[in-house]
Amino acid sequence: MNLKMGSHFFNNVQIPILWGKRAIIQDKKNRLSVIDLSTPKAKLEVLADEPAPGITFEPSFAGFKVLRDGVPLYSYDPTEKRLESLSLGLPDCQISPWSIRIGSNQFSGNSISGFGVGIAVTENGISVGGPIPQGLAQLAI
Amino acid sequence: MKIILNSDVMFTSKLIRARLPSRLHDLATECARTGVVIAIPRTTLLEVERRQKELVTEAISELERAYNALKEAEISFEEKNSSEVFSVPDVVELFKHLGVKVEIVEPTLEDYHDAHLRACLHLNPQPPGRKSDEMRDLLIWVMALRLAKDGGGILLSRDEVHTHDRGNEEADTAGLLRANDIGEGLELLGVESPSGKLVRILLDPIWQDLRNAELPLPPTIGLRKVENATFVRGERGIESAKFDLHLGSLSGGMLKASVDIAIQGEDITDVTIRQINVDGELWRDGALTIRTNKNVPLVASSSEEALAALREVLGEEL
Repeated sequence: MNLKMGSHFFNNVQIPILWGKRAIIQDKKNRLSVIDLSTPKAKLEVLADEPAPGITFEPSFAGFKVLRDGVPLYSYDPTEKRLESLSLGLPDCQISPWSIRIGSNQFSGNSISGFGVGIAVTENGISVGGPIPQGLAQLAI
Repeated sequence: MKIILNSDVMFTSKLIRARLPSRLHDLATECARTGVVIAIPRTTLLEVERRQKELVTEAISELERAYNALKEAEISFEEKNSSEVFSVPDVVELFKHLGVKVEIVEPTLEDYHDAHLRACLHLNPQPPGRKSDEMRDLLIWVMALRLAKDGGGILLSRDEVHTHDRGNEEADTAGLLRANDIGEGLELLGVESPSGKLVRILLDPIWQDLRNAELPLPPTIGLRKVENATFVRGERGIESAKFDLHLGSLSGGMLKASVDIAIQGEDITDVTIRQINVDGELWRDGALTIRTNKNVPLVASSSEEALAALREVLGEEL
């Protein structure tokens, strides 16, 4: 896919941002969606800044938390476009018009072309431009 | 009572212009309503201003790039001085504009000495094994303790130094409450949480059905606490809710229960209540199920448009 997110151009990239095992996609109205790829079939968790159908959530003052089996996984603040890990062990991820912030790292104005994953965030670090890790579901909804 | 702000709860990736970010706006509005003072340590304010200055620089660069692109494309436009379009916001004035009293708290020499000692000697509230002796965090901690001793305070901070249980004893002694986000802070001020509000909207139409089923509810419901509330989103709005609640019982005591609500379209259809405890005793066998057909105005926008927009971005991956 080709898209602009957080001042980055992702050209011919299959997953622009992979946050742990979740793809983060921004639509043309700048709304974020989060798709869990850890299961055999991709599962939408956040759809256009709101909890996706079928998802268990808890509203908060700033947005909402996504839960699975009663465990809060992460929170999402649609105003700030910020994902905060609650039990995934990942750094925060925030998409602003000018940059992508992951933990204390800020990326802006890059062009990432021809990779499986544009920016990959794991518990251990961040990488820019790489293959899709094995074992993930196909990004389709 | 004062609300003391650390910089992390004020952090925003957006340039603040005419209005505070919504969560700070909500906090200020509620503090204005309840007469709570917002105390901003100078340390916090300096950090917020530094971040806003960076954002102004980015915004000006972006605007100038756009001007250049328009000029190269020979498109006529009105060019304004970019440094006049974007400026560093006066955050304190934006708070005050909402009617809240704001105090900028300067660190005292005594605060510096105290924080310095804690940093050097690795004293509380720093967690054991922390590599960085962050004076800034310790200074805010010392200032928060000092402010709380004069009428109580709530420190809003996510920082590990401020939230660690090594600070419990000092916080208790000083009358300092701690909340790691604005929502928690608002709840400490007695503001209804979004979950509590949603639960109240769901329950309001069915109280009479529950009374009809002989649940000992008073004529006027006093919802005291909602806990562990989770909701499942359906195609158009919420399709189920689950929560624990505490409310005043008919005898003036307490009724506690766990509730499951099923919703179809705009109507509540099934209510299952478990572990019903009235005034400290299990009520009957502790369970009650009712079927009903009560309308609740909780319809959200259709997910179809959003799905189509996402599919358009995903394109050929479909």
